[in-house]
Amino acid sequence: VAWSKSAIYREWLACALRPTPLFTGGWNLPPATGLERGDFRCAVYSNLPTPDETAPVAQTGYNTGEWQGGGREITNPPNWLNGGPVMTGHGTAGGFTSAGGLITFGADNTVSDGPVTMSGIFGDLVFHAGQPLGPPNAPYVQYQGLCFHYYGGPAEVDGGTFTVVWPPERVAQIQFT
Amino acid sequence: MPWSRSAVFRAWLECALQPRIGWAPAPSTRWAGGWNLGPGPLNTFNCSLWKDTITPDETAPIELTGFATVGSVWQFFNADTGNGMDSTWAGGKPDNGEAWPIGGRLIPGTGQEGGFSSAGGLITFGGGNPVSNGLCTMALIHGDMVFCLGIAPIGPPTGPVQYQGLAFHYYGGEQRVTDGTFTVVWPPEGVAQLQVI
Repeated sequence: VAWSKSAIYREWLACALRPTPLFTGGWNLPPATGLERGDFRCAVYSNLPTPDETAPVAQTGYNTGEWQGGGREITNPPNWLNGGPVMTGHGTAGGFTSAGGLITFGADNTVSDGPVTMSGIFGDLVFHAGQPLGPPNAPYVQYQGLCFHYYGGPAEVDGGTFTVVWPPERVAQIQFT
Repeated sequence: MPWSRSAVFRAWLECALQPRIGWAPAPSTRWAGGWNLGPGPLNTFNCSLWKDTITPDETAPIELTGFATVGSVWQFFNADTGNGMDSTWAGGKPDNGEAWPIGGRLIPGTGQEGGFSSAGGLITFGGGNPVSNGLCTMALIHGDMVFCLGIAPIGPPTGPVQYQGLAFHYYGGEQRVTDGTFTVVWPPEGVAQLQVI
């Protein structure tokens, strides 16, 4: 069964709410040198993964669980590398809002660094590129996923710019009902 | 219009998910509201009791979600409810001296004792039932507000509002006790529960 829905990982919320050691996954944390605190990436995938928003934390990271294995991640170096582009429009640029019944994770659209040729793209994984391994963050997983998005069918680009256009609800949104 | 529902404060999730808005400039500073933090006051949650003269709002801004926060429904030293306090009433909040003091009773079973679970589609904040410290007499109790005693307004560990509320519970009607033990019995879902759907 291929994936068919978009969702926020339960463990992303749990790690933030629990948090035994410091949780460094804040959407508005400032970026540090390289892929550290505050950096999120958007990796794109074929229809082989079957992501599960209730998966244990160890299976929610980039290159873990459903996100590992041949033929799953789609890339086209050098303009769409493994892990996808670093997302913009969050961190010190904002993007996080909390108002009314909604908590929203906003960001700019994610764009390839240049022309790419990719096909069979069925969705993406948005993950935190700054999550380190080991203590003091042992309960977490490296490159922990925030959420995944199913595109509803295959998307492709042939020698052009590939853009992930976030909907009005943005990258992720939590609703209080 | 009095309250009629139970809810988790949106601001609680907001602070957990984004621990940098409006406070804590130091990277090492963290939001202190974790259900399993500890030991010490970081893991201490209290259950305070309230009359039906308030209308809680789970979407209130952070600054209005703390216990006794000035300008919020949880403020009991305001003009509407009066400043007068005695062993029975503290403004809009039932109080019976030391048996169920202002600020309520501790919720056991949190912090390093556990209580937090994440499984299936559910995130659960579990805890023991808060119980009065001896016999008491109270009436007009319509609900409670659960808040973290460890969150101070300034300085690490910190948060944007002191004694920040996690959730409130409406009891569906008046509860009372006369010269007895008052116990808040949490349902199987725990003190609070989030569902991922």
